[in-house]
Amino acid sequence: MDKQKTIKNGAQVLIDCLEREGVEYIFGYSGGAALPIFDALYDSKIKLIMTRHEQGASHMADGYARATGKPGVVLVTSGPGATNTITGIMTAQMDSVPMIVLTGQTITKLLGTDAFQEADVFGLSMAIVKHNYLVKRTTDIPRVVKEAFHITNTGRPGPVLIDLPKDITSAPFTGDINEDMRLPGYKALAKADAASIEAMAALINASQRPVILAGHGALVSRASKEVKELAFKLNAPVTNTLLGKGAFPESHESSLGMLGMHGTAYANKAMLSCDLIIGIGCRWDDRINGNPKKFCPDAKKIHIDIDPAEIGKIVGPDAYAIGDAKLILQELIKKINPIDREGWMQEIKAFKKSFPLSYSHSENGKLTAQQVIDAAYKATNGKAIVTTDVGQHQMWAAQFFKTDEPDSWISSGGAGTMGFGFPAAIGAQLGKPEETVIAIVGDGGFQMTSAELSTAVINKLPVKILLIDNKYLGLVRQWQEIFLSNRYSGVDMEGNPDFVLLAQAYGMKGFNIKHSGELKQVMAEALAYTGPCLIHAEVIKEDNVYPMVPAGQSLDMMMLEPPKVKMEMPEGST
Amino acid sequence: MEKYIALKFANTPGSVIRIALVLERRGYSIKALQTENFEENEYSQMMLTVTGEPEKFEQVLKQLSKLVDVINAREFFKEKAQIKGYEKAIPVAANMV
Repeated sequence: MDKQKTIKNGAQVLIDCLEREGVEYIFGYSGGAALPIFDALYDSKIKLIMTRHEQGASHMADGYARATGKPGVVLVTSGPGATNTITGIMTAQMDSVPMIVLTGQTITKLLGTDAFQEADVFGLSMAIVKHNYLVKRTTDIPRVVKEAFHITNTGRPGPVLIDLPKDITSAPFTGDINEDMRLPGYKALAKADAASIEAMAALINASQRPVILAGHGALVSRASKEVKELAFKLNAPVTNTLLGKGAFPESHESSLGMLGMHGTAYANKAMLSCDLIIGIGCRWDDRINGNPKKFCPDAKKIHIDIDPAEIGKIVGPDAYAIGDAKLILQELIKKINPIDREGWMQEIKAFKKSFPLSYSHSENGKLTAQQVIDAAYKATNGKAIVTTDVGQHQMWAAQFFKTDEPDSWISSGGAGTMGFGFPAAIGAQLGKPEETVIAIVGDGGFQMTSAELSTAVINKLPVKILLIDNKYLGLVRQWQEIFLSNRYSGVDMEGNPDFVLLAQAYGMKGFNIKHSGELKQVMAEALAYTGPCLIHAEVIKEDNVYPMVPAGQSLDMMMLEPPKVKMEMPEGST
Repeated sequence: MEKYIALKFANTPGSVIRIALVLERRGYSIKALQTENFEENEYSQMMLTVTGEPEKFEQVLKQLSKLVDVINAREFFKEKAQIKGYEKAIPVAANMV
């Protein structure tokens, strides 16, 4: 037997390991230091989705992961190839998304010599990953890959980067492909202790006016069934964070929709009137609490989270449990006594009636963004996976495209990454080929990753790009209007291309909507189109997202309409 | 205010940088640092003297514990260090969850 033929190199073993982990797609962009890996991929059943920019690859992997719950895999080369993924890795880290990023690296002998396309990617990425590796022995590859997949999608998920020098992936592999993981410091708690469950149940059973606050963690732990059970058993309303959309059906009468800075008025009113907040997999961030010192001081707080470091980070809870939300809720529900809370639910109904979420139509048949998003919602009956960028369109989509099912809202929450929505939609469509995937994007963000039009067309992915074009960076402009006396600085998107022509240049179908009279028909036609398409909706230039809680202020400072007096620039965050 | 942290962690490349990043991000400065390897260099023990906002100290400990390499991160009370075997009483690897 010819022994030469049976020895694989590091890259081939790497691909074997990825296959073993069930990887279907790799989102990547090639380059010198990654040559051995791309060569090994040539013989693999894993499909390479070649992108047009590494940032696109990382967002695609992210969208794939959020739509399927499986880690997305990125493969890029060293130096600029790797640094171009940094935004995408940070986006995944902020939103707890499982992702494996494989980066080529210069040969080990040249590390630290400023070699061609050398960057200290291990060091650069350290602050924005759950964990990372620089592999210095070919024999370590199987163990590192096994550990990376374990770390990325257990506990609180997050990206793991593996930096792979070219000599390490080229060298013959002589180790054990089944080598065990060595993670003595890694703890992923699942079950909470009985005492925490008792403490939470006692608070709940004593509460007359509870509100459930469902965050992304409720979705990550696949606890939407348990959230519903808890809500119905308690007879309590459910609000959700931006990333918690889908943890509880937003079209249900018990849903308050999203809370916080641009949340519904009735959600924020409920937060101010409740006596107990049951936070499930949420991190009480500044978009939700406004100001943690003033956040619902009269309400008790329960916090359920798998990450011990989240407990007490921003809001000090009165009771908490650390572990998997699904398992914790299953235990908790057993301890809940049925209490009549009809009075509280009537109050919630009254809030909804007095402060409804609505929008006004503009005159002369000009389009508003809200109207366009609402039309897309109605045309699909809400049955679609929606991805977004960040900004006004994102907030309007969160408000008016109600999410009823898990894994159908994919948005850059913590990071607020422009250019995320469209590539994320490509990844989501690959993961869920049967679903309608709509990327609701703004004219600013879309241009950051629009080169991926090629990727959608080449792979025949029928994503629908709903481009809300107001020719401004709208949310920043809104701040400048309200707080800075209309001194518009760095927000005008003058020189936007003809987006329909742009789509056509890449071989993609384009639709234009300018007037409300044609909205319904064009939207229906575009969404029914079998291939990928871009729907360019030209909306009024200056419109603001309300309700709005100025950054750093408490929820009772919520504005429902434009302020009549000049507002001071808020001190809190951005 | 000066605080002391006792850390045990898997001695992997970069683990010290990860620890330093957690402190830096929360405004903590390292005044003194001492490390020692044990179990054939597979593990390290670190004693840190740090200063920073006292209200962030618990978060610092939690974020240190969260690092994949870190086996445990505890506040260390200097006065107890006089007691023989105190350092060894901090649990290591296998029996730590």
